[in-house]
Amino acid sequence: MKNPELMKQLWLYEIKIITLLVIILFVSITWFVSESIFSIFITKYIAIFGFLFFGVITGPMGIAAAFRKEVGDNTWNAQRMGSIKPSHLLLGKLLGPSLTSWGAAILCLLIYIGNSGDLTESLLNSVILCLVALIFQATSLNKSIIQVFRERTSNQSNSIVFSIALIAFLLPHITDLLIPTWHQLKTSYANPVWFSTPYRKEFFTLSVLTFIGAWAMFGAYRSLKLEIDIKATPSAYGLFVLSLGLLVAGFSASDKGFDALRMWLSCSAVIASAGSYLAAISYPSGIDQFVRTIKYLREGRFRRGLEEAPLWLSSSILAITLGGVSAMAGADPIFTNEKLTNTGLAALAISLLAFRDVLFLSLLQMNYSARQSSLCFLFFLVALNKLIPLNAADTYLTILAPNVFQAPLYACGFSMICIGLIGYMWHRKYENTLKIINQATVQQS
Amino acid sequence: MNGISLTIPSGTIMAVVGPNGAGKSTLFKCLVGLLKPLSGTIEIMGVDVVEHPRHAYNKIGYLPERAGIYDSLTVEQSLWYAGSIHSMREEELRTSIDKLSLTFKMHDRLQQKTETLSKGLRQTAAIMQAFIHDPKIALLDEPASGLDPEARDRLSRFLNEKKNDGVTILISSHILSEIESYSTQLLILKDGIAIEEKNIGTEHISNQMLRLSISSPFQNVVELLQAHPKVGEVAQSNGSIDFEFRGNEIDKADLFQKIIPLNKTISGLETIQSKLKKAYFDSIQE
Repeated sequence: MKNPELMKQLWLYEIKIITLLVIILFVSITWFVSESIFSIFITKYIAIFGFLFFGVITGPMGIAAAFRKEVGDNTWNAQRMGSIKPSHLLLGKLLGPSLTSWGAAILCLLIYIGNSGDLTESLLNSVILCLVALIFQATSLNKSIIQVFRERTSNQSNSIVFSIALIAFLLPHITDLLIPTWHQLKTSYANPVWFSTPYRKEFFTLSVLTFIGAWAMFGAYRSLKLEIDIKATPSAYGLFVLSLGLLVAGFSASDKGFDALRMWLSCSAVIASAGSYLAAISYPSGIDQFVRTIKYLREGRFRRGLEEAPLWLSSSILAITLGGVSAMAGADPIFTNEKLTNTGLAALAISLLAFRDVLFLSLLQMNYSARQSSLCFLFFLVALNKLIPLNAADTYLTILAPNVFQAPLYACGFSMICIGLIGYMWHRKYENTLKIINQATVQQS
Repeated sequence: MNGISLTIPSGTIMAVVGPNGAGKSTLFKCLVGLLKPLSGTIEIMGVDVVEHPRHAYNKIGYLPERAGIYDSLTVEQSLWYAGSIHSMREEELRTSIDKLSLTFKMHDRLQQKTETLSKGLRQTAAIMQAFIHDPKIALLDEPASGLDPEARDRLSRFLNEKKNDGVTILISSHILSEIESYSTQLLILKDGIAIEEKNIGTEHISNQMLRLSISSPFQNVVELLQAHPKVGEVAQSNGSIDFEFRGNEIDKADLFQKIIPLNKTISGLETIQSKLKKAYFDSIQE
C-alpha cells in the first residue's frame, strides 16, 4: 500500500537545483583535493566531515523545519484528523525532508569508502555514521513534535534542549550517577567491558548505537501516535527505562549476580527520575488531564486512567517503585574508593526528590502562567541544588538540601515530608479549581 | 465554553453565530476532537469524539478558519493527499476529485500549484479538501471568506445539495445574509455559552423587518398594518412604513394583496433586516 505521507513529502521536497549545485561543488572540491596536494588521509576526513554536515546538521534541521512549517501553515491538524498510520507519518516525515541531505551524505560516504584502505573497517564505520545520523534525525523530529505539543497546550516556546541542559546542570546527583566523565568515557570506549565481559570496540559501539537508534525512532513514533490521538499506556516508556538502566548498569556492575540486578534497578530508578523531570518539562499537564485521569480511575478503568495520566506522574511512580525495590534489595549503602557502589537507597532518595520537584512544578503550573511557573521552578532548583550546597558548610541549611549519597535515609525522609506538604497544597488547589469550574457551569447553564 | 447542550438532526445546516471571541471556533475544535472538553460528552453519529476521536474522523469534514493548504502542491495533489489520509481508495479518490472539481469549476486548475491561486480559489480548494472523503458531517468555519459572488452561489447550491443528501453541516460565519440562504438551524453563542438555539427553516420565517415604499398619503395602510394579527411594531417615515412581520412567505403575499387595493402608489416591499440578523441581534441584546 502506498504511503501518502511519503508521497506528499517527495512532492514537497523535490531536489532543488541549488542543493544539487552545492553537492556538485562539494564533490568537485573533494575530487580536486584528493587528486592534488592533499593525501588520501585528508580526503577521507573531509568526506566524514561532509557526511556529518549533511546527515547530522542539515538533515535534522530540514526535518524540524518541515514539521514546524506544517504546523505553522495549519496543515498538521488535517493530518491529526486523518486515519493515516503513525508508521507512515514517521517514515514520510523522516525521509521526505531529509532526502536531499541523505543523497549528499551518501555521496560523501562513497568518497570515504573509496579513499579508505580497509574496506571492512570503512563499511563498519559507514554503518556507525548512518546510525548516528538516524539518531539525530529521529531526535530532531521528536523534539519538534514535543515542542509543538507544548506550544499548543501551554504556550511555552522556550527550547526543550536548553531546558534539558539547564536541568542537567542543576541536578548533579542525577548526572553524576548516570553520565560518565570524559576520562571514564575514553577508557570504556577503548576497552568496553559490560557486566564484566569485554567486548570488541566496534561491535560494542554498533550495538549501543543500534539500541539508541531504535529507541530514538520509537520515541518519535510514540510522539506522533500521541499527537494523532492514539492512546497508549506508558508501558513502552517503562521498557525504555529498564533497557537503558540495563545498559548503564552494565558499565558499573562488578559481576552478573545479585549485585548486577541491584545496580540495574538503581540505575533504572535514577533514569526514571531524570525522565520525570524531562516529562514534566516536555508535557506540561493541565487540570483537564488530572480530571480525566481521576475520573477513569474512580470508574475502575485503570487502563484509560494510565493512558490519560501525565507521563511525569507515571515516571515518578515507576522511579519510586524501582528505587524502593532496589533499596530493599541493597540494604546499607557501601562505599568503595569513595564511590557509592550500592546505590539502592540513594536511588530511592533521588526518586523521591524528583517526585517532590515535579509535583511542585505541577502545583506552580496550576497557579501561575507557563512562563512564571518555569521561572519559579528554575529558581527553586537553583536554590536547592546550587545556592544552599555552596554555603552549606557554615549553616544549617543542609537540612533543606540533603546529600543523597552521604545521607540517603535522611534524604528519603525529608523528601517524603515535602511530598506530603506539596501534595496537600496540590489537592487543595485542584479541589478549589474544580469547585470554581463547576459553579461557573451551573450558573451559566 | 460552558453549559452547551444541543442535538443536531442529520440533514440540517446549522449556522453558528456570535460576536468575536464567543467561542465558535473553540466549539468546532471540540466537536472535531482537536480540543478536549473538561467535562461532558460529544457524540457524532453514535461515536464518542472525546473517547474515540479517530473513530469519528472519517465521518467528519472540517474547514478551519485559516484553512491549511500546501503551497508547493498542485490542487490535485492536495486533494489526493487529503483523501488518502482518510483511507480512500484510488478509484474513489479519482471520482471524488472529478466530481468536486466540476461542482466548484476547478477542473482546469487541478494541475496548478496552490501558491499561484488567488485567495478565493485557495479557499475553494480548501472547501474541496474538507469534502473529498464525502463526510457525513461537515464543520465549516467562515467558508465563504474570500469567495467571489459566483463562488458563493456555487457553495450555497453545493451545501443545499449536501443537506438534501442527508449531510449535517455546521457553519460559522459573520456574514449573516450569506448563511441565511441555506441554514435551517441557528445557534447563537456569546461568551462561551449558547444563548439561543432555534429553527430558522423557510417554513418558519418569523420576525422580519419589512419596508413598504409609498409615494402618496398612506394612513389607511398604517391602520391596516396595525390591525393585522401578524404585524408587530409599525413606524412611519417620509415615503415609507417600516414594520415587524411575523409570518411565512404565504402570509406575506396575503398581506400584500390586502394593501394594494388601499393604495395604488406602492413602489416596493423589501426586507430591511433579515430574519437571521433580527434573531441574532434580538438574542445578543437580551
